[in-house]
Amino acid sequence: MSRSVSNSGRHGGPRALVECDPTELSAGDRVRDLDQLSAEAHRMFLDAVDGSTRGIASSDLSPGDVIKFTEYYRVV
Amino acid sequence: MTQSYVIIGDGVAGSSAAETLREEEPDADITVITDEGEALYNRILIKEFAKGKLPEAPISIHDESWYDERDIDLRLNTLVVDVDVDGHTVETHEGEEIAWDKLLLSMGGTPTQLPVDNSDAEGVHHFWTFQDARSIKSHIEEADSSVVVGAGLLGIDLAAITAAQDVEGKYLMRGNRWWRYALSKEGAEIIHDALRERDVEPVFDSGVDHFVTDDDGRVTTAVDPNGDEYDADFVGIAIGLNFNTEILQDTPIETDTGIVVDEYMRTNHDDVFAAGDITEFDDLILGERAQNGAWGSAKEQGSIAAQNMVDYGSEPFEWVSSYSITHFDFPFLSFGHPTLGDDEAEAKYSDTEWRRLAFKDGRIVGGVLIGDLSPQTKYKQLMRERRVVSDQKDVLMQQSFEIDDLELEETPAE
Ligand SMILES: Cc1cc2nc3c(=O)[nH]c(=O)nc-3n(C[C@H](O)[C@H](O)[C@H](O)COP(=O)(O)OP(=O)(O)OC[C@H]3O[C@@H](n4cnc5c(N)ncnc54)[C@H](O)[C@@H]3O)c2cc1C
Repeated sequence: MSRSVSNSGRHGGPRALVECDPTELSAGDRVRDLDQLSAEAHRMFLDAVDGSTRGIASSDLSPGDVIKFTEYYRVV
Repeated sequence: MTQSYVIIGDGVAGSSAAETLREEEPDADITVITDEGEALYNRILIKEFAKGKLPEAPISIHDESWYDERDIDLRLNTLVVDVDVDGHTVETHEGEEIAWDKLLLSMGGTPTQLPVDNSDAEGVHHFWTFQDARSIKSHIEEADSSVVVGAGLLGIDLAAITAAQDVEGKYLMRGNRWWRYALSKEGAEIIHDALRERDVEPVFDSGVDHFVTDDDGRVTTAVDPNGDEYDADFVGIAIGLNFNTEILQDTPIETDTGIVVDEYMRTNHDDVFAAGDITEFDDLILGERAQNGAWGSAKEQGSIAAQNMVDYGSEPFEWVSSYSITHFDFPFLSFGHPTLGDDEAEAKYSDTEWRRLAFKDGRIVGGVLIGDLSPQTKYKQLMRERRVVSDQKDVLMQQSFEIDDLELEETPAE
């Protein structure tokens, strides 16, 4: 499962979110709940999921990070 | 002289305090003591493990090398049994005395037991630790029927676990709806419908009078105060927390339901601080003493406590807490203190979209959003700025509400 919900800019720019399958996560993956994001990342994540922004750019969200919301999302 | 800091508890409050202390005091002695057998893990996500969604590994946050790298002495499986405030020591269950210059109390809470017959039977579970989650998971995977008790934020996690594991269940609640102190019937009905879709049937005006067990002491049935019987070989109970203050008995530290601290997380003793779920703190935004039970708040309190242990008065705790539920197709978020206040406003927008705000003295003190979380940042901003807005409920309840639509005093209220 890897449905894209937001579009990514290029390297260093805004990041995209894709839905992912939690059973396929590996030990090294950083997985957090929505409630564990910084205020800025929390807001950007919600905006990206509901489609009101096209990408996320927060120092609290790095490529590879996984966030548990109503689905699991990976930052790519 | 080198300062020594002792932290009791390696939850997120204790752990974030240790991290901040090391950043602020490179040479200090820092000891973190926990009665659990593992270092900090993701307490929020243990429900996802119990649901069978997440494997164990990503739930761990720190391994022991994290403490070694920071020269923090981590004591696992070590219960603090006594605190000597005048002597500046704590005593462990093995009789060891550990001295401190400054002490942080971040012991959190323990789930409240139901005071009814057989509530300690095999098959009856409470939910706080990773060990609890492991035993819940292994048991629910074998279960045929379940009962969950406790119509709050942790009870619904247990109900979601039974649903995710395809075990039909009854969710026994005391009043006529889930989380009745924060939601109206109309808002709660959205949650009830979502539970029913997952084969979890809410049972209202119920509860547990006693449990029945088989000859081996395993739970078989929950009997409610009306005499109705519900088959259950798995029972989950989440009726609240008792805060772990018993080691402070016979000390001068002021406690109420938790440990009383000021906005700098200091207790009534200059060298003793507290952080996390266990604190009753001066809430500068609410304007009265309050208690939070959320990850973000506990983490922030740990860090703020550490800064004030090093330099008292340097940083107050000023925070709007939030807590989400993401078990369903729609999200749910509560913020601030939605169970408090002297006034309220609510609106329903669709079958899965609903909002409620709680006001005190005209200011937002908390709220619940179901379905559409987009206005949360704006409501939290109004709350943080202590704006008097309860006379503009129509505007606040507009589905696409914007702060610019409000008529506001130029400067935020003091
Ligand atoms: C199942 C579950 C789901 C949750 N979901 C959410 C959520 O979705 N969003 C959210 O924001 N929050 C959630 N929470 C709440 C959140 O996890 C807590 O608010 C937060 O973890 C509290 O952190 P703390 O450090 O204050 O306490 P704790 O994490 O409870 O840590 C206290 C530690 O101190 C130890 N201890 C206690 N007494 C002693 C002693 N005498 N000696 C040694 N060690 C001792 C305890 O064993 C424990 O390890 C959830 C909690 C649970 C259990």
